[in-house]
Amino acid sequence: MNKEELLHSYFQEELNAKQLEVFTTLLAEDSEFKEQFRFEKDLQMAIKNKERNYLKKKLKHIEEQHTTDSLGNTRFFSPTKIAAAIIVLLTVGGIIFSIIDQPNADKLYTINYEKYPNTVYAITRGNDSENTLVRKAFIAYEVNDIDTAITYFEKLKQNTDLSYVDFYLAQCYLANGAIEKAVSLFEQVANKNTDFKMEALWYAALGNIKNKEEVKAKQQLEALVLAGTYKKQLAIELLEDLE
Amino acid sequence: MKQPSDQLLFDSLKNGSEAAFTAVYENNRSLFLNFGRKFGLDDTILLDIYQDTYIAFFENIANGRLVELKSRISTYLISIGKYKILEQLRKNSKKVNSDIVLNLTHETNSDIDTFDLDNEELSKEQKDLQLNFEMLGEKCRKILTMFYYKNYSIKQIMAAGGYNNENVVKSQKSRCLKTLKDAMKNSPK
Repeated sequence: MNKEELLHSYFQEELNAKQLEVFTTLLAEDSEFKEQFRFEKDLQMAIKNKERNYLKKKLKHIEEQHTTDSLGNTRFFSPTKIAAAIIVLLTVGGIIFSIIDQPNADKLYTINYEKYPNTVYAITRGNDSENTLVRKAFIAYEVNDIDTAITYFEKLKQNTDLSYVDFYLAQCYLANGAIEKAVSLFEQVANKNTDFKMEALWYAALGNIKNKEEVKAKQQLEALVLAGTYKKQLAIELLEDLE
Repeated sequence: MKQPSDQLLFDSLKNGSEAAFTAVYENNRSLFLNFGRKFGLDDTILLDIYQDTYIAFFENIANGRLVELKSRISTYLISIGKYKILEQLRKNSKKVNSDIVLNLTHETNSDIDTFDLDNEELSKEQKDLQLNFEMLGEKCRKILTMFYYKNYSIKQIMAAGGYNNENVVKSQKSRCLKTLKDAMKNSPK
């Protein structure tokens, strides 16, 4: 094994006892070898330092997000906790609402469900002359005429390949109580790389909670926590509630 | 609290998942800070220690020293953290209360024996080297990082860098080292 190979094996942590002996002797007696070793060792330190600085920056960035979240008190004022507080107050006052009699799954669904807003199509006066299928679908969706919205979104699904149609159609099914249909469609959206992937996961999880499909719901919530980009905190709290 | 399992997170970290990197950091943050407060360090310093601890944990996964999870992730972080906290306490005062040292060294975790935990400051020469390293081409920076930081074998570098055979990797690495050495010779002292 030549000197270069010895150094190579040292950095790969592959030197056996005999090679280590040769290595140590060379380090003590061969100044050129020692200089090369020092150079490579310094380089290793320099790269390590560079990579660590990069990771540190990444963590500081996460920390900034963390601080923003804390300031926003999203965790403290989460719907789950507010709802829990309301339930406690009502119970203490002796007022029993029907929500308390509902099974836990229904309660969790009711507390957390909120129809997703229309973030796709701007319905403004300026657009009045335009009477496209998309416009009709979103007007119906916004005024909660869900049956009409379903008709239009189903037509859009047949005739176009707009990426958001499945997500809003699933929203309509969910709003109408067609939970299984909604979940199935949300899961399809979540499996594709669309803009609504994470949102679809959240609603699929809610639908599965309502349908007592707890295992599936938990998997979907865990995926949301892991991705960390949408409703992460609520997903963590829902996972706690499901335990 | 039900979270994605440690094994799932560990596997995701190994595969370079950014989401897992954030999730593991956040999942263990409070636990670590609560643990560290026992030693009278303020939160700003503890947060810094936690970040160094987390980086050490992550690095040892990335460089292949930690290939299999034998305890919970939090156990690894606390074990590394103990080492880092002791280091900080020693920096703060020359004499550290022996009870604290005893507490920190009690039940040391042998799983981290092989971990690289040191975090030395760079010398002037090493800083110059870092500067010259930054000015190398991307190919050289990548191959040298894989070899000296990630502890990749030549075979792994071959696969990750799309090289045809092991000799090409070795000679490319030698060329990069030579370029860097020449640059060092020519850089102003």
